[in-house]
Amino acid sequence: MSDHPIHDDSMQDIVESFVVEATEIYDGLEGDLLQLEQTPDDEELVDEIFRDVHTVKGTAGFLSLDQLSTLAHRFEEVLDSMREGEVDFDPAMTDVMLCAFDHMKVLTQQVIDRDLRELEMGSLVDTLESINEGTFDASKLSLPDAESGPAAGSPAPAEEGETGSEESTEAGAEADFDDEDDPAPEAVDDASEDAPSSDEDAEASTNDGGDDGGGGTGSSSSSSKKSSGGGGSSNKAPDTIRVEVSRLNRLMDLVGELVLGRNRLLQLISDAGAERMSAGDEDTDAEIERLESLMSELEDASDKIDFTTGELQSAIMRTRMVQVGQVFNKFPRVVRDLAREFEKQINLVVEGEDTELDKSLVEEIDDPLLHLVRNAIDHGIEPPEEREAKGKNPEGEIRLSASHAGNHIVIEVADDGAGLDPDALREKAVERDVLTETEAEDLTDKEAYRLIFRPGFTTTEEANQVSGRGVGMDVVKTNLSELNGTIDIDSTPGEGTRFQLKLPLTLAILQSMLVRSGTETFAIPLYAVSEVVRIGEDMLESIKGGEVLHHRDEVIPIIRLDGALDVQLPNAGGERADVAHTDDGEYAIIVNVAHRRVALIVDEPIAQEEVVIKSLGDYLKAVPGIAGSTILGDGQVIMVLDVGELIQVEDPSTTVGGDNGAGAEEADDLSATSAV
Amino acid sequence: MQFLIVDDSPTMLRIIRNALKEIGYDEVEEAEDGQEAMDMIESVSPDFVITDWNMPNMNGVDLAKNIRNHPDFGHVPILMITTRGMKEDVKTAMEADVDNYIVKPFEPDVLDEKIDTILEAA
Repeated sequence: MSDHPIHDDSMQDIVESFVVEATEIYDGLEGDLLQLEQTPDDEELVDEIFRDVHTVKGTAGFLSLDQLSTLAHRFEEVLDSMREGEVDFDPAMTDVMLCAFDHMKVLTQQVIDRDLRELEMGSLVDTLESINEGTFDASKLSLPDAESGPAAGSPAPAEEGETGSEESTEAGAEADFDDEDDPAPEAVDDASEDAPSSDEDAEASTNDGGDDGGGGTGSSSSSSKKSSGGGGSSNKAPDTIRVEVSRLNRLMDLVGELVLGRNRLLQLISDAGAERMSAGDEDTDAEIERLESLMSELEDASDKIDFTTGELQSAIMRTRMVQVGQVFNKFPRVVRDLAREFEKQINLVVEGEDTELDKSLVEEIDDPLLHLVRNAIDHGIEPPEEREAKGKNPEGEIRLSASHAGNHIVIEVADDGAGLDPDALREKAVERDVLTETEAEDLTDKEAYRLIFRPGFTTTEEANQVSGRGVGMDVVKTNLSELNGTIDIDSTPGEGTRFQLKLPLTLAILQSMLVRSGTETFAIPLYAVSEVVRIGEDMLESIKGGEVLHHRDEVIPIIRLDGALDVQLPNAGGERADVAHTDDGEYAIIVNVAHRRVALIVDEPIAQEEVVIKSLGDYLKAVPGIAGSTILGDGQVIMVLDVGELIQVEDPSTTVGGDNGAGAEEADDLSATSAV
Repeated sequence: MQFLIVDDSPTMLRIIRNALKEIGYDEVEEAEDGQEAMDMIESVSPDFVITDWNMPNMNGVDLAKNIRNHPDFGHVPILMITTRGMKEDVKTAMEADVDNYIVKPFEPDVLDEKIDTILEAA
């Protein structure tokens, strides 16, 4: 297929334009189709949907995307018939149209991936045709699964049997889809004169994609990432332009360098200022005066650069901001489909969809949100009968909301379902050998809820039945920590569960606290730091083989940074003998990550600084506990800590024994499993 | 030769523009629907209009009618882009006094032929 036009160099700009346009169309189309289910008589709406599908069909034809253009053509005919009032609308037709929509998306994703593969969609094309011909029978409906459709939408294999495709083989027997419509490579003068048939699709007999469910879920994460490349703004908005994300990334990189340069400049000026203070008597008054005035001008100028750099940075960050609605938009469909699949009644409430966050984050929160929403529908919301028996509204509610809190965006997924049962979770943890009985008893309810984030907390056997909850939640947490984000659970038995995701507004620039441990300086993300405490006498105590910090009636587990990260100690290496390393000279940086408090023991806090995170590069990708590196104003390269990971790998409850020496090695093993 | 191309799809506009360029026509202005085309027709002063049929606000057929009724540009050749399998549309288009139509997808040389046919007839 490498000679296909989409691989042709001269076609690349058109392919890109097509992808952007189609993606934008799909963004709106899904909502329109769901709306159509509610208001099938809305002619304007049908018109709009028709136009969208028509546009895709037209451009797909130019790119010789035969399957896409054929499918869009059949789809368009249905819409045309609806427009003309030739078709009596049946709600099941929405299923057919959504299915067609899913296939169009998959086919477009293939273009994005430059990986064209023939989809089996004979029965879908037939069904579209049956609507058109008035022979549509909702009771015999059987639709293929779009193989990498929306992750949450692809039913787990277990359910496949029920949603049912007894008709599949029958439909498949006549599946060679419409050879008349095979678009001729050359245009024909007479529109009615179609190209002679080619039977290349004849072998495409079908079984209804019933075994596609598993593979589909696996491939969905990449597809959803890439498909949001269109940007949020509609091309119809008059005062916006479309800019390639790579250009914005470049700007962001440059401004990152500028911030580093500025930091260096400020550092030099402050050094020079200190020098001036200690200037000797040998300088003449006139010289001193001249230097003074130069210095003060330099300070003025650097103030200005400082200010402008800050403004520039936030302005560029704003250009990368998109509305979270871009992600939320897909959920009405997801919830509709899942509610049908699990036979629940669910009302989705979406709030704060105009909250903005960095584009890169929008792409990354997609999957975690899908998992959470799917989970809420599958496990949270009870079946209607059960809800009624409990005196609840049979229709459950899922609330998806976003808001800003300082430098963070907070996204919540809340349901009014059964809630989590902390005791059942404790029991399960003991059953699975995740915790000992005593450990389980010691957990607060909140800590018990967090058990669901443990890798492997759910067994495979169970995962199949309940759509992979354990796996999903583990992934959610891993994804979020990679984004410097946190997740918190709150649950009230009988009333519901609320997941709260907290994310930084951008990934690139981080407010951080610089600390010294041994000979090394580290940056700790400031959002995680709740307190800095000078360690006094009797504040540290050994418990159960691990150390804890007593602070204001609170017992906080500690992690010694030098031990955890194997930092060279001055007395061991001897290079920095000037640095004091005594027990009473230590500080505890108390960090809060995902509602867990841990004290990081360091030699001293140094400063608060805005740092630009640079990746460690591919060959050092998976260093546990390290998020990246940065360059300080004085040119020193330091590591930025990933506190969430550090806590996880050094978790006293997961690290048996929990003493520091063994901690470092164990850290590697544990992170290796959790990073999967 | 000044072209005005009208289509609500940015991709189609790009395809048409590329095709025209390949044929050797470089002066091309774009409008995203019939209404915008009418709004800019005087400033663009086109020698040739290529328009899509199905567009929001004002479709290609209405655009053709409006152009024909325009005091200065009533004579401008109009080439309508249609889609295969829509016979009725073609009939409607021809009734709207469109000079010729072309079915998408088309190759640049077919577009070239169509343009030549129209220009020779004029």
